[in-house]
Amino acid sequence: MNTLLFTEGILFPSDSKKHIRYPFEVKHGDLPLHIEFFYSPKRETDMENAKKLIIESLQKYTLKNVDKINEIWESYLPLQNLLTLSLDDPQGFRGAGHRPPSCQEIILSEDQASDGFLMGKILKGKWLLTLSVHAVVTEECRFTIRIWEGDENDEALDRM
Amino acid sequence: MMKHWIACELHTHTFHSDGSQSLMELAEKADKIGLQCIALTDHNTISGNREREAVMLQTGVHIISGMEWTTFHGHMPILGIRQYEDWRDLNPHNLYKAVQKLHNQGAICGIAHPYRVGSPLCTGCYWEYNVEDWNTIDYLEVWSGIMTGDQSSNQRALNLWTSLLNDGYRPTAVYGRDWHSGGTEIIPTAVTYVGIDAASSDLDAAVTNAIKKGSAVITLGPLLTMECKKKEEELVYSIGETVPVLDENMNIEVSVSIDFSTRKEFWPIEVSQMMLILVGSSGTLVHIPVVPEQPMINFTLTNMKNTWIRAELHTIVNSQSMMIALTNPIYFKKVKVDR
Repeated sequence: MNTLLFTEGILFPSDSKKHIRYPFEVKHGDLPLHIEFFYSPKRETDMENAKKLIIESLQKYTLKNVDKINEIWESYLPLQNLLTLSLDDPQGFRGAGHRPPSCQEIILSEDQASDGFLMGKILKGKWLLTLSVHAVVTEECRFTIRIWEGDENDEALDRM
Repeated sequence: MMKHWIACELHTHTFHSDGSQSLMELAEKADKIGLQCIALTDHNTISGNREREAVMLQTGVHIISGMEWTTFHGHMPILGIRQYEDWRDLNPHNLYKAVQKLHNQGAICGIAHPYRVGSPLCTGCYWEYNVEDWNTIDYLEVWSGIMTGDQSSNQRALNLWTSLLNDGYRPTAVYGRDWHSGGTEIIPTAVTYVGIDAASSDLDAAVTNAIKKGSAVITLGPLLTMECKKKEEELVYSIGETVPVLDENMNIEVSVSIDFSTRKEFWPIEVSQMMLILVGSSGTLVHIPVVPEQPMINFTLTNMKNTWIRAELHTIVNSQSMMIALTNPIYFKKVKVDR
């Protein structure tokens, strides 16, 4: 089992609406690629902050008055962070995992691909993982991404 | 040529993005509620296409290849996509070039739920792109999601569409369920009927071309359609078409048809208090009560100054008037006569 990329970081609300690109090299090719992606926290548990952000959003995007907004803001809970991954190989797009879960495992090989991703030859060369930061609502949001190539029987790392 | 109206759902999601259903489950549910066609529009991926052929064969439901660009500044559903086009370099000011690439590969693009509450509650859901030229936007979801409860964002979308029509643009109005889960229970969702030429064998091309040309109606219930012709002429114009206007005093004969039986088992709407309203660029033109015994309503419009007309069906729900069906317009364009 060969780790091709390991990265971890901390994101802040000011990182919202950004893409962070992680190039990595597949030296051998033809082995399944595995991606482990995790971020935390998922939900904002600070209710005061959640209320503030929800009310701001409702004021910005609706024509509702203050009283109505105060009446309905709770129906928009829980307020959540959303980070998604997408992948490109040396020839182009290989898929995206645009979905809420903050813990995702993706497998890619010539004849198998996790939902959202395209199966096909694992090409040697420069690949690109893009982390899309749709929203960070918590004070900070920590993430970890690990990409490794190998068969499933290979020893797996400790779960994050 | 006689139009054939296909019941469609143009905005769906599966396990390939954040849907809670496989493509097979989605198509089976669509079939159960009498839909003949769905568009697969997963967020930012086209991987679901690998299941498309097998699902179409098994269910008989036609599946249009699509994708929803789910960006930071707006959601753009795309129909008839042949290869992946990237959204990750988009910003509010460079949409035009990206849309050109979609058109170059023969796809059409729309705006999903333009006034849905945006980030961070629904990331990128509110449309914030600068549209340099509205002629490049093929369609617009004037209705989105479950059609009950707070409909204010749908009303704003409808108002936007009307103002675009009055400015001379012709984006096609559609309904997008944004179908992530559920489906065979009777809940207030609408349907987009797309009018294709009955002879079409390539359903992908027929449906996307029809949407592009404005041949579509949306409804929570009956199938509402409309045709018109100039008085003393034979040529009949259908929804999405343009009537050349030589003389402002010309009379237009309009024929509205309401089909109360198609998919009747899937819409629980009371038909007893319906009103037909004809709206044009100058405002409300006609307001007529509708009875199921008379599903065809004809009338004449004189001194035709409108640049477009559309038919709407309204009913009373809980003492309030509610729109339940809407056609795309028939357009009218002044034409100079060579003397």
